Amino acid sequence: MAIDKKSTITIKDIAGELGISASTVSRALANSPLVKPETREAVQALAKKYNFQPNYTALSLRSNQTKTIGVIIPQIVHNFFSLVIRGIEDYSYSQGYSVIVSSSQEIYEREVMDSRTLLAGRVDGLLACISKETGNYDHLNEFVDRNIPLVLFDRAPEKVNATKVVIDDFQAAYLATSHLIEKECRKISYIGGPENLNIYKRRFEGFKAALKDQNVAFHPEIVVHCESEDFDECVDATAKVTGSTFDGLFATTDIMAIAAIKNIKKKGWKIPEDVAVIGFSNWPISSIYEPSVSTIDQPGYEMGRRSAQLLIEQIKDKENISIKKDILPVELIERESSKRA
Amino acid sequence: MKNGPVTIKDIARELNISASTVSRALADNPLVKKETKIAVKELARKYSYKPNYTALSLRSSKTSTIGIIVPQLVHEFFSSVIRGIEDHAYSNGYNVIICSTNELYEREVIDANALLSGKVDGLLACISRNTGNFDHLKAFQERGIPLVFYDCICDEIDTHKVVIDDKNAGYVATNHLIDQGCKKIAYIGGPANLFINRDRFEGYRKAITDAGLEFGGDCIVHCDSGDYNDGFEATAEILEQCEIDGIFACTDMLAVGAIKKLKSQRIRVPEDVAVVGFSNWSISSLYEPSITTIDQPGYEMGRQATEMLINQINDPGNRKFKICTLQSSLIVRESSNRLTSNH
Repeated sequence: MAIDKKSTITIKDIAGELGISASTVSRALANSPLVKPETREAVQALAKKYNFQPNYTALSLRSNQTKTIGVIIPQIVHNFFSLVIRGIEDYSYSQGYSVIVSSSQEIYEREVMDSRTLLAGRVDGLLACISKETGNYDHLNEFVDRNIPLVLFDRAPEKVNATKVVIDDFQAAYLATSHLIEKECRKISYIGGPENLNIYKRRFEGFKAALKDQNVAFHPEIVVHCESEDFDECVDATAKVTGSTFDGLFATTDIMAIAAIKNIKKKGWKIPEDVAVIGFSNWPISSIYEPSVSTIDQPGYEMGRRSAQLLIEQIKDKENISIKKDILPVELIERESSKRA
Repeated sequence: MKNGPVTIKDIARELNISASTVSRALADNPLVKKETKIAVKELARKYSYKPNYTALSLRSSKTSTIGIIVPQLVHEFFSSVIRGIEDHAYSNGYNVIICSTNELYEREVIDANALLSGKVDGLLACISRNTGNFDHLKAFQERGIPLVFYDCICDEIDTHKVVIDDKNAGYVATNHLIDQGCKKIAYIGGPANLFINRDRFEGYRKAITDAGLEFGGDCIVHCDSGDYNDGFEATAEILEQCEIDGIFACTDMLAVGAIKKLKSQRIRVPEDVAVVGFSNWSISSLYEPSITTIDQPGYEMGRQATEMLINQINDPGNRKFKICTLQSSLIVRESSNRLTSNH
């Protein structure tokens, strides 16, 4: 059967010409190992000859799956995010899905490119944590428009109507601060991260709210917002606060806590006796360092696992997607740095 | 000032640095000095620099993509390799997608198929320690998709490869302890069946033998994992059986465990026992005493492998394959620096 090159070729046409089923053609185009190599080659040769363009909407509606989940994440070289990925992977593989990860390195344009690559790769669903630059969400809404399930995690903008899995940074910081107050701290230093990031804004709000609610004075002279999360920069930043005295310190990452502790030790002050310290994130170093550092454990692995679970539920039942928002609980871990009698 | 949009090359020329440095600075790569990052970003802002994404999707309507297979992501070495890959790939117009296998052969096969289906233009692979059959990787070559191996390589497939000389690294680490005056050097290793552990141990043995020192079975311990608790227990065992003045631990975590045990018995580090770790994980610079270690060129490995892959993509007819062997470097810190420590 001769086919006019200019008309739009469909999977059915190729199936007809080769005398095989449409699903076999579909699988062959997706390079499924279930299809014999000769068949795959024949199908792909015809597709190339007739300039076949897959119809994405048709593909997703027909639930012609690649059994692949795409992940867009700001950083891979990162303790928290790499745990999230592991959580996603472990759950997904146990359900028969493979996982492809792309990082935006906190750059909006890259995030857009990543989303296009994953769309072209025909992922069955997308898990995404947006970059700090992202203000326009069209590239994510493209997935929603094509009925490809989308779940956002960690940073979850209001403007995207999708299921979200997050932690409550305000509550977490409130918990950490209350812990110090419970340990009799009355003049508490705060070491924060870059103020343009929402997570740090919310942690600062939580800190101030806990002080206010428990009638402890807020001392702006012992508050520092680091411009980055880099260790050396944090050592310099925290050196500024040790000009004053204080009896408690809340740092919004464990690395900042250790940077602060190094400065506190230089002053000859004892931890936790003179200054009780709590960090945030439960990086491995916090349990290894001396003194071991109290911290807030962020459930990175669980966040990944739960996001994947919700996404796969949506993939399996696309007609009945309900938008959810899961707020995961955090845990206070008390260690040597705040263990006062 | 030139006409037309500013490019990375323009910024590089104005600041007299390389284009890759500009690219890395814009991506906030921690390897770039702060002052450089600030200067680059300032210029980028001043000239309203916008990345040229049309360059990225050249002839085809799809962006060029490189796929990566990696055994672990929660891992400081592999994450630095990926960073090296990403930086080089992006600055050459390639997007990057990653599958991690968690050292499982079955996952590696599924991942390879997913990347093949995803129509990547090239593949960078570090095989899992459990991979014995390579059909899933040969499939790429069969389809004319270039692949390059890094770190854990496949001997059966003829292509470019990038590896690190771990044996020499073990030799350098041990020799450093010998230079510090150590004569009875213990070895704490990870699981004995792993290649990297085997190579580092070989380096240690050669250094000991070359220096005419003895080493006994009771000051060599292989642990089940690289956890710092294992380092602690292994050191306890060693201290019961021998008099030592140096320890070479095959990872920084094991070194931390060793030092914790030594401290608990009031043994001074480095004065009584000098300690060297391996891999330059961030704990090694933050711990007290800071830990002497071997810095592995993970970032450079990623960069090099990507360069070889892109060359292959651009020149598929070229079958002159190379194995590039990278060297690690010793970073001396407090845990072994007897020359500057106080007595």
